[in-house]
Amino acid sequence: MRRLKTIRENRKTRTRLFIFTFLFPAFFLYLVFFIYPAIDAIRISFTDWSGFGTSASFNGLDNYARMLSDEVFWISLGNSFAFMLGGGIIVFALALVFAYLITNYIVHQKFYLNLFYFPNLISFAALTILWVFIFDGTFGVLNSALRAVGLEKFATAWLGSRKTGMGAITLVGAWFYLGFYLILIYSAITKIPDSLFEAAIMDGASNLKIFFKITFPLIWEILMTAVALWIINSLKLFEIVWGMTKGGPSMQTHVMGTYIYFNAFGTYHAFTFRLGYASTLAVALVIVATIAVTAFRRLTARETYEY
Amino acid sequence: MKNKSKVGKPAAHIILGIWSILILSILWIAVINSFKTSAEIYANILALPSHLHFENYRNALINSQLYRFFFNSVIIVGSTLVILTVICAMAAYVLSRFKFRGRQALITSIIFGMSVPELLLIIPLYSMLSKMNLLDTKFCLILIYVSLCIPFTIYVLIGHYNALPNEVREAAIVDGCSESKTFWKIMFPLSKPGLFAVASFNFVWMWNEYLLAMVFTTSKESRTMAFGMYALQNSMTFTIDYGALFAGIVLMIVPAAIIFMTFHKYIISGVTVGAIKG
Amino acid sequence: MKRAVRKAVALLLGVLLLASCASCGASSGDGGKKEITYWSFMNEGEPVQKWMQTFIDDYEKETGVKINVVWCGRDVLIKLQSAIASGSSEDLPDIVDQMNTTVLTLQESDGLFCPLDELMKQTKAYGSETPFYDIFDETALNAGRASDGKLYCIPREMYTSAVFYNVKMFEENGVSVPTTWDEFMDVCEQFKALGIAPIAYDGIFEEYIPWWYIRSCERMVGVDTLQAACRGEVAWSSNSRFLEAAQDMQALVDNGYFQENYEGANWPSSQIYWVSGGAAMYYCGTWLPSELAESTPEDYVMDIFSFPAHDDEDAPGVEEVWGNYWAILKDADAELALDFINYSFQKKYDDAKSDMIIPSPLKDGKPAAGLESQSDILANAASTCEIYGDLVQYGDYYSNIFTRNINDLMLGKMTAEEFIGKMDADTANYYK
Repeated sequence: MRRLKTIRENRKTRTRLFIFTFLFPAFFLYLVFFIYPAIDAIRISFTDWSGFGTSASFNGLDNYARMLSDEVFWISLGNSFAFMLGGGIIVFALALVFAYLITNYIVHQKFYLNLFYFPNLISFAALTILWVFIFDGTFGVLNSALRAVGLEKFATAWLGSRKTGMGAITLVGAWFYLGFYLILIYSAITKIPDSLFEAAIMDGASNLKIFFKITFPLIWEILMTAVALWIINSLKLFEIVWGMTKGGPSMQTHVMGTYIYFNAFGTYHAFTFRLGYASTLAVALVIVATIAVTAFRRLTARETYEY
Repeated sequence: MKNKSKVGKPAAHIILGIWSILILSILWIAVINSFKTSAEIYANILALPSHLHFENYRNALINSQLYRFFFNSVIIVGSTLVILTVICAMAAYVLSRFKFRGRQALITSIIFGMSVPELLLIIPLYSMLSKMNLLDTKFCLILIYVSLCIPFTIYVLIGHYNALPNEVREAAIVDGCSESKTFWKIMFPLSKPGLFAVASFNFVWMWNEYLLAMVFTTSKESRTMAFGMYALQNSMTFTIDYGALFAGIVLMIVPAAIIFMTFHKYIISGVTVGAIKG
Repeated sequence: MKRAVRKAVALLLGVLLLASCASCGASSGDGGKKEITYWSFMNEGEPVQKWMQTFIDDYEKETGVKINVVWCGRDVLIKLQSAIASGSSEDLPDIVDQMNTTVLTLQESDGLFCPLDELMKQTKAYGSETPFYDIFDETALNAGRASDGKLYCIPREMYTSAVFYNVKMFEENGVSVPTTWDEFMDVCEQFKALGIAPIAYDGIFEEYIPWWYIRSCERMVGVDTLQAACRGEVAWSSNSRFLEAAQDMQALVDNGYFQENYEGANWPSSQIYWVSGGAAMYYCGTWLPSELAESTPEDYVMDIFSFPAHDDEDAPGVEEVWGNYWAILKDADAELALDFINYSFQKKYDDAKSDMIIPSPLKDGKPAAGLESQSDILANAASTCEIYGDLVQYGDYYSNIFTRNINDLMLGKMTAEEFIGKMDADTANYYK
C-alpha cells in the first residue's frame, strides 16, 4: 500500500517546488542568453579566429601564453587595479561622508541626492568629450585655470602619460559614479528603523558616534555588496577610458575593458581582427574579477545583524 | 528622524557644496556651450555665448531624430524593467532565504556573469537570435537587456533581501501563509525601495546603451534613443560641430532626469516599521 | 497583488510578442520586389549622409528597387562581423562602405568581397556610352586593388595627404612655400623667430602620430622596404635612411617646431589651433577642409603643398592616395548592387559631393574648392601608395610597437639612435 506522505514531506516538496518555480524564470533566461554565449566566447578564446569569416583554427593554450608575455596586458591589468583601488577609496570615502552629512544635517535631501546622481544619468560616451576638452593640453580649462592662478608648472599634458592619464580617468570615474553608490548607501541607511536610534539619542550620543557604532554596522551588508559591485564594474570599465584616451598614448592608459575591445574590434583606422585573443583577455578578466570579489567577500564576512 | 543638529549644518552644506559645484559646473559648461558655435567654443569654453544659437538644438533634433525613437526606448526599457525586476526579485528572495544544494554554485555563477564584458557576447548572441528569427524586433532587445541585467540585479537584491527582517516572514508562515503568498503579499512589497533602486540603475544603463542596439536592430521600429544619441555624437565629432553635440547631450538628459526624479520618492520611501515593532 | 502582477506581466509579454510578430511579417515577403541592403558607416545627420540620401531616394523612384539602408555609424564592422559569424547569408548586406585599406585587409584575410573589374568594364556609366570602369581616375582605382591585382572596391572619393598651410600667414610674412626638406626647415625657423608655432601636431592622437615619420620613410626608403621592416624581414638599422628619417623627426622636436604643450594635444585641438591662426602648418589628409568647415573663419585661406622632399630619396615623389570605397559582398546580387553604385556617380551627384569639398575620384570630376592643388600634386606624383604606407595591415605590430615607439620619439623621450635600436629589439621580439 502506498504510504501517504507525511505533512513534513509534503511541506518539503512544496518548498522545493516553490524554490524551483521562483528560480526558474530568471535562471532560464540567464542560462540561455548569457551563460551559453559566454561559454561560446570561452571556446573562441582557444582559437585564432579573426572575428570575420568562418576560418578559425584551434590554438590550444597559445593565446593564454601570449597574454602572459604581453606587456600591454600587464599594463592594462595594473591600470584596472589602480583605478579600482584609487577610485574605490575616493568614491566610498566621499559616499559615506556625504551620506552621513545628508542624513544628519540636511533637510532637502532630495536636492543633493538628485544632483549627485546626475552625472550617472548622462551618456558617458558623449560627456567624456567634454572631459577631454577640460584636460586638453592646449585648450583645456584645467590648464588655463592653473595658468591663471600662477600654478603653471602643474599645467601638463594630462592625458599624455600613464600616471596623469590614469589619475584624470580615476577622477572622472569617481565623478560619474559617486551618486550611484551614494544612493545605495543612503537607501540602506533609511531602512534602519528609527527606534534603534532613539535610545542612543536619549543617552546623548553624538552624531558621529551614532554613525560609527550603529549605522555603519547595520549597513555593512549592503555596503559590502556595493563595494563588490564597484570592484567588478571598475575592472570592466570601458566607456570612460575609451572616450578619453582610447587607451593611448602608446597603449599606456589601457584598462582591461578597453584592451579587450581594442583586440576585438580595433579602432576605426587600425583594425586588429583578433577576436580569439580578445576572448582570452575577457576570460582572464572574469577570472580576476571573480577572484577579487570572492576574496573580498571572504575577508569581510561578518555576522549580519538582524533587526 | 535623526538628530538634526543645527550646529553642523553650514559646514555640511559647504562640504556638499564643493562637490555640487563640481557637478554643476560641468553641466553648466555643457549647457552654455550648446548655444555657441564651434569656433566660439574653442575660443573660450567658459565664456557665455554671445548670442543664443538655437540652431544647435534644431540640428541635434533634426539630424538625430532623437525623439522619433523615444517611444521605442520607453517601451523597450519599460518592459525590460518590469520583467527583470519581478523575476530577479523572485530568484533573489529564494537565494537569500533558503538553503539548498547548489545555492552557492548559483551565486558564484552570478558573480561570474557580472564580470563578463558584454561586448564579447555580441557575436554568439547574434547567431542565436538570428536563428530564432528574432532579429530587429523590440522583443529581441528586451530579451537581451533582461538577460544581461540579471546577474547584477539578482546580486544587489540578494543583499537587500538579506537585510530584511526575518520576523515578518516567520510570523506569516506561522500564521499559515504559503511561501508563495508570503513573498507576494509581504516580502515583495517590503523590498520596494531596493527594487526601485536597482530598477533605476538598470534604467540608466539601458537608456544610454547603444552598442547592442546598433548591432541587433536596423529598422526604425526598433531603434532606441540611445542609438540616436550615439549617431549624433559620431556625426558631430566628424564635423566638429560640438555645439550641436552638447545640445544633444542636454536633450538626452531631460527625459532621463524627469523619469528618475519621478521614481526617486519610491526609492527613498521608508520601510514600514510598524509591522515589526508595533 | 500576485495575481495582478502576473496578469500585467503576461499581458505585456503578449503585447510584445504580437508587436514583434507584426514587424516580422511586414518585413518579409514583399512580392518579388528587388531590394538592395546597404549598411553604411555614416551616421544619420552627417553631411555626406544627407548627400547620399538624395541619390538613394532618386534611385528608388526611378528604378523601383528598394534600398534598405541602415546608417550604422563607424562601428558598422561589429555588426558585419556578427552577421557573418551567424552563418546565414540572409542577414548579410549587399553593399558596405569603408576605407579602402579596411576593405582590402578584410579581403586578404577572409575573402568577403566580389571582384569588380569585369563587371565594371561591361557596364556603361549612367547616361553615357563610356564603360563605368573608365570614368575613374586610374590612381584611385588602383588603390582598391588587393594583392591579387583584382579590384574589390570602388572609390567614392580620392584623398591625398599634404602639408596644409595658412596662405595669408605665409604671404604677410614673406615666407615662400618650401619644396625641399631644407627649405622646409628654414620656413619653420622663420616662423619660430616670428613667435608663431611652425607646426601644429597632436601629441596624443594615435592615428596621426606616425604620419610624419611614415611619409619620410615612404620617400626615403620606399614603401616596399618600409613594409618589409614592419614584417621583420629587414632590420631597421640595416638601412641608414630609417635613421635619417628619425633624425629629421628629432630635429623637429629639438628645435621646438611643434606648438606649445603639443604633448597633451588631442584631436581635434591641433587642427582647430592651426585654423584659428595659432600655427602655420598642419599635416593632414585632404578631408581636412570639409572636416573643419564649421570651424574655419570666414577669411581664412588654406592651401596645400606636397611633403617636402629630400635630395636623394629612394622613392622620390611618392604620394598617398586613399578614400572611402564602396564594396559589394561576395554573395550579393552584384549586378544590381553595381547598378545602384553606378547611378550614384552621375555628374549631378558627383558635383554636389565636390561642393562639399570632397575630392572626386572621377577623371573629369569637378575640382573641390580649395583643393585644386591636389590634382597638381597627384599629377606630379611619381607613384602612389596607401595612406600610412598601408602599414595598418600589420594591425597589432602597427599599434603596439610602431606607433608606440614613434610616439616616444616625437615626444622627445628617445633620440633617433635609441629609436632605431628599440625598433630592432621590439621587432625581433615580436616575430620570434
